[in-house]
Amino acid sequence: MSSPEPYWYLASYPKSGNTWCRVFITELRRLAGLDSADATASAQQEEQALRLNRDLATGSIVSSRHWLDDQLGIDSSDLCWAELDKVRGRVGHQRALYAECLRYHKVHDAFTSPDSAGRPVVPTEGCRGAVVVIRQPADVVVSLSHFFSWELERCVAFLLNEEAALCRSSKRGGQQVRQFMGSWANHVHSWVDQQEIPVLVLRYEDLLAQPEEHFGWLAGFLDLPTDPELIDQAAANTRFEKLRSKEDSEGGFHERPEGCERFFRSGRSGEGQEQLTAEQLSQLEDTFSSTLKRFGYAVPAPVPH
Amino acid sequence: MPGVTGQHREAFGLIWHSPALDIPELPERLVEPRSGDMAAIDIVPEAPKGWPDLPPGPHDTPFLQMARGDLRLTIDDIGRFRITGGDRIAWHRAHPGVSDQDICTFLLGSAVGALLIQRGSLVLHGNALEKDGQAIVCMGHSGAGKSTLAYALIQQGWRLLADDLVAISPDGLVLPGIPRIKLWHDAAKAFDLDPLQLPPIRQGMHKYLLMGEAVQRATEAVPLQALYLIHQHRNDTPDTDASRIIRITSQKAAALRLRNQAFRPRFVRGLGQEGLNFMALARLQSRVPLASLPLPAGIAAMQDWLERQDLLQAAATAKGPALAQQDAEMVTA
Repeated sequence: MSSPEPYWYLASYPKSGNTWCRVFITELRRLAGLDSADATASAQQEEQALRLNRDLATGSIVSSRHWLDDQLGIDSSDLCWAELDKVRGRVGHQRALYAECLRYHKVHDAFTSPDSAGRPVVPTEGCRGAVVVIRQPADVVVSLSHFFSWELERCVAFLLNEEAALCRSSKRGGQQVRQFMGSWANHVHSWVDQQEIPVLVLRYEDLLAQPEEHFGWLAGFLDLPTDPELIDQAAANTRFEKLRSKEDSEGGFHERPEGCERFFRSGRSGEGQEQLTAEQLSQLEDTFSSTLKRFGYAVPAPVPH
Repeated sequence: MPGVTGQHREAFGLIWHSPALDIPELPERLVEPRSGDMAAIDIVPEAPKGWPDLPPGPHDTPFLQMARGDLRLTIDDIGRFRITGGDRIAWHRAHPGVSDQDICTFLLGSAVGALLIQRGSLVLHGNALEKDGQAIVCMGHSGAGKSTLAYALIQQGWRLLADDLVAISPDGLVLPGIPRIKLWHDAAKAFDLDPLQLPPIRQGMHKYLLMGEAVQRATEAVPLQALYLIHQHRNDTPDTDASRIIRITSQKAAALRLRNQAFRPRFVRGLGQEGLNFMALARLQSRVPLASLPLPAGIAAMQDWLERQDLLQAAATAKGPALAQQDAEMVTA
C-alpha cells in the first residue's frame, strides 16, 4: 500500500553528481528551516550543522536490502536477481519508515532491467518525478577509476558494456541488491525517455558552471524553496572545495569504498579529455555520439586549455 | 504421530507438526512429548481462496497483510503463507514447479518469525551462539556478515543456538532455534568449504545451507550474556575507536539500536505487538550489555581477531565511545 506522501528519485549513472545534489538538498532544507529539530531527531537523530557523514539524510538508496526486506517481508537474499527485479517496482514508499526529509531516493539502476519484464525496477506509484543527473562520460570514466581503483581502460569498457551492473555477483551477500545499468547511454535513455514519471535532466557541467541557476531548477522540481538567496547560500555551502575540506576534516566520507582515497576528489570537468587516450575517447564518442549530441556535449569534445 | 521421521520437530521451545512438508532444518524431536509439555504448532498446506479477507492495515505492503493474530505473506511465483493465532502456519505453492525447499526457505524465515511474534516472543534478527553454558547474540542488517561471523565462531568452539531468528524468553534465556547457517559461495570458499558439496538454499542459487553435522549446535536454553551489533570495520579509517568493541552506553542509543534490530519491525507493528515488544526490549536492555563489534574485512583477518576476543565478557567490559563519538552513537542508531 503506497502512502500519498510525495517522493522523488535522484537517478544517475555512478559518479555523475548524485551525492552532490543530495548534499545540496540537505543543506537547502536546513537553511530553509524545513526540518524542525523534532522531525530531524525522529528521522535519524541528526544534528543540524552540515556534516557529511551525518546529515546526508535525504532518503535511502533504492537498492538497499534493508528497505526491500522490510517491504517484501522476507530476506531478499533468498531470491535471485531475476526474481527480485520483477518485484522491486511494486514495493511501496512507506510513511512509517521514512520521515519528511527522507523523500529523495538515490538510484543507480537503469529504469528497467532485462529481468523486469518491461516494468520499472523502482516503485513509481505516488512518485513525483526523477531528477536525472548526467555527466560527460569521459569524465565519468576518470572519476569511476578513482572510486573503484580500476584502470581507465576497464572503466571505459564498463561504460560501454550493455550488461553492466553494480553488485552483480550472485556469489556473495551485501547490503545492496544488483543494480542493472547497461551502457552509459542505455542508462541515460532508460530514465529520460520513460513515460511514467516526470523528469528533470541536469548536467553536472551546468551545476558546476552556473550553480545558482541549475540548483534552482532542482529545488523547484522538488517543491523546495527557490528563493535565490537561499539557493545561492546552499550552493555556496556545498561547493566542491567545501565538501572536500569537510571530507578531510571529518576523516573520510562513509560512501567512499575501501581503497578510494577520497570521495570528493576533483569535481572538475574535462579530466577525461586530459587523461584518456585518443582511442578511448573516440570509442566513447563513436558509441555514444547521438546521446552526447542530444544533451549538448560537443563531439568531439573541445580540447581543454 | 510421534515417531514418524521428520514430522515432529522442536525449536524455540515448541513442537512443530508438519505432516505434508518435511522441514529438515528444524531439529528432530528425540523424545515423545508429555501432554501439555510444550505448545504444538501446525504447519499445513491450504488453498488461500478459503482465507477470509482482511481489512487493509496501516502497515501493509503489496506483499504483506496484517491484523492482530493474522499475517498473510505473498511471494510472487513461489507461494503464499498465512500465520494465525500463534499456533498455525498455512502454506500454498504458487505452482507445481515450486519445490519443498523453496517453501521451507521462506517458511523458516518469515512465517516462523511471524508466528513467534504472534506468541509475544521477543525476536531479534541475528545469530545466537553458546559457549560454557552462556550465550551471545550477534545482530546486523541483511548483508552485514552475520552468518560469516557465526560460522567463524563455530570454528573456534562456539555452538550454534539459532540462526537468523533469535527468540529470547521473558527470563532472559536464549532458546535453541534453527540450527543452520546460510553461507554465500565466496564465504564458503574462504572457509575452505567446497560449494559443490553443499546443498544450495534454493535450486540455482549460490548460497548454501550448512546444517546437521556441518555445524555444532547447542540444544539447551542458556542465559544471554552479551548483545553485539556487527559492522564491517574499514581498514583505511584513521579512527582508532572504529577497530575496537565499544559498549553502547547511552540508554537512548541502546534502545534505538535494539529496536532497529528486532526481527521485521513491520510484522511487530502490523500484528499489534509493539507495546509488548517495547517492554521486552527495555527489560533486555536493562539486563544485558550491548556493544558494537567491528568485523575486520577478510575471513582470515576476522578469525585472527576473534581469537583474541572474549565475547562472553567483552560487551560488559568494553569502554564506551570517546566523547566525540557519543553523538555519532545516536546518529547511526
